[in-house]
Amino acid sequence: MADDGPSPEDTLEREELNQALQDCLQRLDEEFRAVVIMVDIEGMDYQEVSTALHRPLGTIKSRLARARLKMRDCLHRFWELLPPAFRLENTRSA
Amino acid sequence: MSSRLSLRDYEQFSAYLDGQLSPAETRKLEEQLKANPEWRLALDELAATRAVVRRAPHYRAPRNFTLSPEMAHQVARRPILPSLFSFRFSAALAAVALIAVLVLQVLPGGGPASRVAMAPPAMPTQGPALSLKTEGQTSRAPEAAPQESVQATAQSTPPPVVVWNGQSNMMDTGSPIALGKGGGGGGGTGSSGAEGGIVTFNQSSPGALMAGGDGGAANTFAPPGAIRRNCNLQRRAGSCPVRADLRSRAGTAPRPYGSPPAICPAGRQRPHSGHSLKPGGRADHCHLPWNARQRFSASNRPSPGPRRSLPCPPVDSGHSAGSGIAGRCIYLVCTPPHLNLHEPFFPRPLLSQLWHSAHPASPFWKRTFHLPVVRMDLL
Repeated sequence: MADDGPSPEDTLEREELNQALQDCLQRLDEEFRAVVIMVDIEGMDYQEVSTALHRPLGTIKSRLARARLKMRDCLHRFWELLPPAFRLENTRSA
Repeated sequence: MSSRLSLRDYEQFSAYLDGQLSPAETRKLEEQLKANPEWRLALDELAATRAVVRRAPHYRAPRNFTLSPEMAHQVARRPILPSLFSFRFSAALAAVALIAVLVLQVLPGGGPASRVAMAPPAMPTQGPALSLKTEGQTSRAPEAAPQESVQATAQSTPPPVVVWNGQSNMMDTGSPIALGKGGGGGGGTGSSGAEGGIVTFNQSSPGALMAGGDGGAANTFAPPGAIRRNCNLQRRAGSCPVRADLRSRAGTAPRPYGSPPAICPAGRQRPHSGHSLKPGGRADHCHLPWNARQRFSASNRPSPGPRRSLPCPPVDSGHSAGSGIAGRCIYLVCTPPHLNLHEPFFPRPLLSQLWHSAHPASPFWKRTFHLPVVRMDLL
């Protein structure tokens, strides 16, 4: 009987992608990392993050945009590890 | 519109992806995206990045590190007194141990240093050897150190009275019934003390008379031979001074027999050339000055006592006299002038001490050694 769970290849790719994400997150500065984690991973909105970090809402928006750009540049080095739907090579070459 | 994107444009893209723009800002941005494909490409990259980051696993913290108001209140109410007892147990134990060691060191008889000081000397024969250490400094030093060792023994065990049966037929027959009378001082092992013996004897004496000796001498008084050996051992260690007469012997060339020593200890005189030797004496030994000998002769008067035998005639009267300590007695050997005392029966260190210091039968010797004086008349 076939297993409905992920294949070993999928498990390996997921682990490698997680490792790449953690590596890129650790490369961020503390202020950018906190905003990315709170918004993209924890799912908090801008106002909640602004309240938690005691920073203005504009600062949160700016930090989040710069953090995402840094994450984009970092993930380009691991593009082969990204799922095909998330690979950006086609869009960059276009 | 310029195709170059600024950080402000990316902030608009990021807010647009998160739905944080107002409807007017959203409408304006969508019109720009339709007009500029590069903006659309940049927005897609940012959306893909956002999607990838959102795929990151959500790890759960092992515990909540946030302090609750109750926890902060407990920290604030911590009293000061327990902080005084934050003294760790090991530190307190070390302090107690240090105090105990200091107390043991200070208390008399408690520390190891005091136990070492109270320990008995390791070598009992070092007492007489130490007497030679001060011999070069004072003339009475040779009697001082044996006094200590002999006194210690005399206090523990009373000295026996040795009765000398000085019969003239002993010399003639050489009979073994001499029973060790006149034997020399015991060696360190209590064996025959002929070498280290200190008894004076005639050269015609049979061997049975020369032998003997008391093994107890090792416990009471080391003969001068043993003293010299011990002193040699200590001199190697640097703790025993070199006697003047021995120093002269230790030169490159041995001093010939009968030649006066080059250096004499303090209080002794170098013998003159042509000096009238005492019977059995040696010219190569330093002697006391004449006034000192007179002083000792004056103190040589016999004192009444049950154990006191008559002393030998003075050494200058023409009689040969010798003495020595064998066992627990001071033997006083008196011989007539016609019996020539042979030198080998007189150990040199003994002679140098006896002939030139004091007569052994004097009260000085008896008081010093607390030993009975036994007179032995050979003829």
